[in-house]
Amino acid sequence: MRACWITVYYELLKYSRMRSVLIILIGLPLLLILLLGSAFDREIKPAKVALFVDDQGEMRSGIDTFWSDESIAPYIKQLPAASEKEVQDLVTEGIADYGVYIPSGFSKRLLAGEEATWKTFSGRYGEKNMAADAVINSYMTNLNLQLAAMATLGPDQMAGRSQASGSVETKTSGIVIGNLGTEENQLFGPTNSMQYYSAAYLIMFLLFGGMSAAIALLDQKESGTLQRLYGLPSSFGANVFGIIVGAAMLAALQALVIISFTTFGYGVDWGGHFFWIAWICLLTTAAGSALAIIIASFAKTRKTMQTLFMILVFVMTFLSGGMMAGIENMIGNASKWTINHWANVSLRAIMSGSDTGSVWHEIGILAMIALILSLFAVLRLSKVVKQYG
Amino acid sequence: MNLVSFHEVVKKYDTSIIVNHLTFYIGEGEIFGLLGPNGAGKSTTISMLSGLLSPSAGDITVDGFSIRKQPLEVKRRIGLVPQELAIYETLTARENVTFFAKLYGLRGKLLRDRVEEALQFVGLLERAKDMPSTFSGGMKRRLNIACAIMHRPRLIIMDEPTVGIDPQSRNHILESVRELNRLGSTVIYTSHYMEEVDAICSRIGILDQGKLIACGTKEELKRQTGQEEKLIFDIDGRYDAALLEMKEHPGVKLVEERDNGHCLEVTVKESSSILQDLLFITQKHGITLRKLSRIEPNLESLFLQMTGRSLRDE
Amino acid sequence: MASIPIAVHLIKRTMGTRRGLIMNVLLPALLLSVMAGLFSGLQGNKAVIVINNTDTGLLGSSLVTSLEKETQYEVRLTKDMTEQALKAQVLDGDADASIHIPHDYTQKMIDGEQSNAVLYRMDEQLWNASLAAMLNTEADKLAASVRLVQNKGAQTVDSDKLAALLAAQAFPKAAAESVGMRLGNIVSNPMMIGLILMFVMMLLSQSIGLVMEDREQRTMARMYTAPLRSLDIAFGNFAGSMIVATIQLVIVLGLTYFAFGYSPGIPFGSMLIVLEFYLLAALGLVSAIAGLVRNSTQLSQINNLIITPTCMISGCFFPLSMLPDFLQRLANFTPQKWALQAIDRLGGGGSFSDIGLHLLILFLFAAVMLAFGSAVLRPNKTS
Repeated sequence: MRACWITVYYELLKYSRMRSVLIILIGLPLLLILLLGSAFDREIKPAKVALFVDDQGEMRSGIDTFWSDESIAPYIKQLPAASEKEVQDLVTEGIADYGVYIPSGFSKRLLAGEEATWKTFSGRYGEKNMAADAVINSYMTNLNLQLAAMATLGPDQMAGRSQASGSVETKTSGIVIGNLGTEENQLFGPTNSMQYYSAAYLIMFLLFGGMSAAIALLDQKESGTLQRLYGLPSSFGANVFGIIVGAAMLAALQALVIISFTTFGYGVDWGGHFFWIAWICLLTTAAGSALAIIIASFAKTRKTMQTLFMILVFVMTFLSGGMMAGIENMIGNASKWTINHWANVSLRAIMSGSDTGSVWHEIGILAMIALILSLFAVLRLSKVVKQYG
Repeated sequence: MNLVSFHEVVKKYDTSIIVNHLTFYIGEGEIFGLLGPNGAGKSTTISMLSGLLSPSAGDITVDGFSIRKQPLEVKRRIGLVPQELAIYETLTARENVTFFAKLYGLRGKLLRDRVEEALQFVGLLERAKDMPSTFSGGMKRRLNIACAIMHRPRLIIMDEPTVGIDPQSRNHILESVRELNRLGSTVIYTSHYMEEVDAICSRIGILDQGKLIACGTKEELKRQTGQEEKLIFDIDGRYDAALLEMKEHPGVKLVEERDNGHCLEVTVKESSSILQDLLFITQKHGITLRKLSRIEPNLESLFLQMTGRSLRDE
Repeated sequence: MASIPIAVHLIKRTMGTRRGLIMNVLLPALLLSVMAGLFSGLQGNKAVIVINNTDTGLLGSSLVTSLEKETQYEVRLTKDMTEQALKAQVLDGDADASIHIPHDYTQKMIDGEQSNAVLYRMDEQLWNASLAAMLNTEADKLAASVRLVQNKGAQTVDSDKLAALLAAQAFPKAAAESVGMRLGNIVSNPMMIGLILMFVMMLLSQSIGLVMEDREQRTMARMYTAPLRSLDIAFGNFAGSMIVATIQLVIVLGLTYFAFGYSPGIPFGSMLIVLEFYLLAALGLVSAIAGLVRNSTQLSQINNLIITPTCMISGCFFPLSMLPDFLQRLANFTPQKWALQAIDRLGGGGSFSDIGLHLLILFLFAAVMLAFGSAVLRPNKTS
């Protein structure tokens, strides 16, 4: 037992010296969570509209009022431009998502009974174009209504009714909206993007962390220190176990830092139940280490093992939706064959505060996977640690 | 005819002087041994000669070309066997040699022939298709040599080529050095192992703290330092009288009894002129001479005497 | 040319081995082809909207007409679906949204009651929020029109007047005229090109890693004892890295272009020219990083930390505009962003004169970074 703890201590000492490894295992996931979490934020981001109003006519004040109206603010963010050319350039550059140019003769032509147009410049993103189109449409519709009323009912009618038409802008809901999506079939499920990616990358990098046991074993075999341990009058098994426990403790540190940093730094709500989260992390680490050891027993060299394991973890992360949320819907059941899936799903269930009974199912499967992999790894372990095995 | 000449070569780093006004010559066809303890400036000297470092002052010429002005002409004439195994572990032996040969501008049939020749020379032709990672230490060292000789350089520089290998490979390498020399290459050889230098070098330069403290043939060096030789007489019978008489001889510096009187150790300035006299003395006193041996002064003791330090003392 | 063997040597070591071939050529090609397969079906589909118009009055069809004018949606009309069936269309993914217009829609408008048309959608997204806003506007317009022609004090409507008013609005005097913009679809859909940029950068970092190994193992010093100038070696390593990456580009790009039929609307040659500029800048970046670290192991670790995140913030995997503003500004310091934008402009029908600035920036980026990093490529004369 003592031999085991001594080994653990020195393993941890060695890890503490590998600063770049620590940065990759802890810093990289935090960075990726931040980037993906903020990129796929489900909050509606307003379309940036480059706007140049050249019209100085009578409708100018109405136009200004319209663009500064509070009700369009959620959909539109204005970028003032100084010419039609600039509007177009801003859209071409991608700085603006949409452009609007209101020509100088707009009021004049309309009041003279002629047709008049705004020029719009659609940008790259379909949905932002739709949003801008819809906003402009509301202005045009209102304007046309007034013009049509003037033409068909006469100007005097219009004057009396102007108050009524003004009420068009007060939003009496013209349509009832039914959101059919329940939480489960939305992109990130009941969690938000930050929670979703925090879970996904915690799991992915815990799997990577699990690989450090196999790396340590192969490295020590290659440098001969493992053979030296073999020659010591203590239990060789205890030493090997110590190396693995050392790696597991590294993973625990990883989990601790990632969870606390995302909680306090990014405001991610892990939903409490830290005992359960610890279990999920432990099982994931165990499954990861076991998988790496199994691969190591076939691959022999560190480089091959690392490459194979990394490809495997990337594929599992991809399949379980860690890189593109919603991929599960495109590939069917393939995600269920990954370690990540069960860990992610149970973490997300805890985050969204579902009742603990349903989490048991996922954790159970995760535990089964970890157990089976571990048993297999134990059987293969001698192939990894013995020089001539 | 001098192939290599160092003229007032200085190498400084910041304030410390690594090589201090080095001036010496190496003749065509020599095996020149460069000796010195760690930090004496051997590697710096060799790096400057092969163009890896440029001298702070002074110049080195090889075959009349200045390393400063015509470095490419100099490099064309040399082959460096570096101390580190500068070979590619992921290329086969043949690919390694071929790659470096191409850098010397060899191509076509000439390239293939020379690569073959170099591999043959170091005895790796049968393993040409194997990766160096499967080689023993000695084989790697030999490959290291092959990569430096395929362009048939006039001057071969060997920087500690035998570090850490088995005696068999070491002998092979020493033999190769002699063979390369016989085939016409001049060789510069540095080593920690005095006996190697002693065995193969025709001239020796001793470096210490950046200065050349001695340079010449072994005999010259010994003469320079006035080192003595020892004659060991293994004898039977009484020797008191003989001992006294030997001590009287003007050529003898010291006589010591060893091995309970079965052995006399006679220190002399120069053995050849007085050996006759000493033999006559033993005969005269009826001593049975079982064995006579002569111990030459070796480089190790030479070095010790010159610098007050041992060579391998690191 | 003395640099040629060095360049060839570097190429062999990165791609000549089985591992190199798999990791640097086959894997990227495979991944890109999977991506191409996965995304080809997804791109550019219009949102499908099913409209079930059961209205007996005028206003329902007016609403439908105005929706049909919108070109962004694919509108399907029905008359006899139940509300349940409409919901099912959305839930099953057959439609992106569905609208039910009940039979008394017009009557309720005339009565001044709350409209009861229903929009079904999965969840709120920008596009369907726009749709809802548009429907609102239309409904409000109809309501206002009704009120205009309403007889004072009575709940009756002069239907001729209403029809005339609606007809007048069907040919509006004021309109928004969309100016045809030719825009590339790379910035908005960067995954394929973005992955290529990432793979190329990874490969470059690998070849610079080999150059660093050369320095550590002293094989570079040995090269230098051959009749070569320091510049020959630096150029050999530089050219080798560039050629390696170019070969990878040509193979992977060629496969995606010609074998998997990926077509970003840019000629192969133009694409390659822009990517060559990117290569230069990326090589500069990687070698500058290499100059900061001590050995090749550290380099590969640091590159893990730099390549993936810079690819993300420069918009290689998802549109840049999805990121917070400060990250978008940070992206200006990555070569990937400029390459993507240049390609995007070409895709939008731009010519090389339109991307002169982008190429210049990439070139300057390369020049500055290579000035820092070039020491890595050549033998060190002072140690």
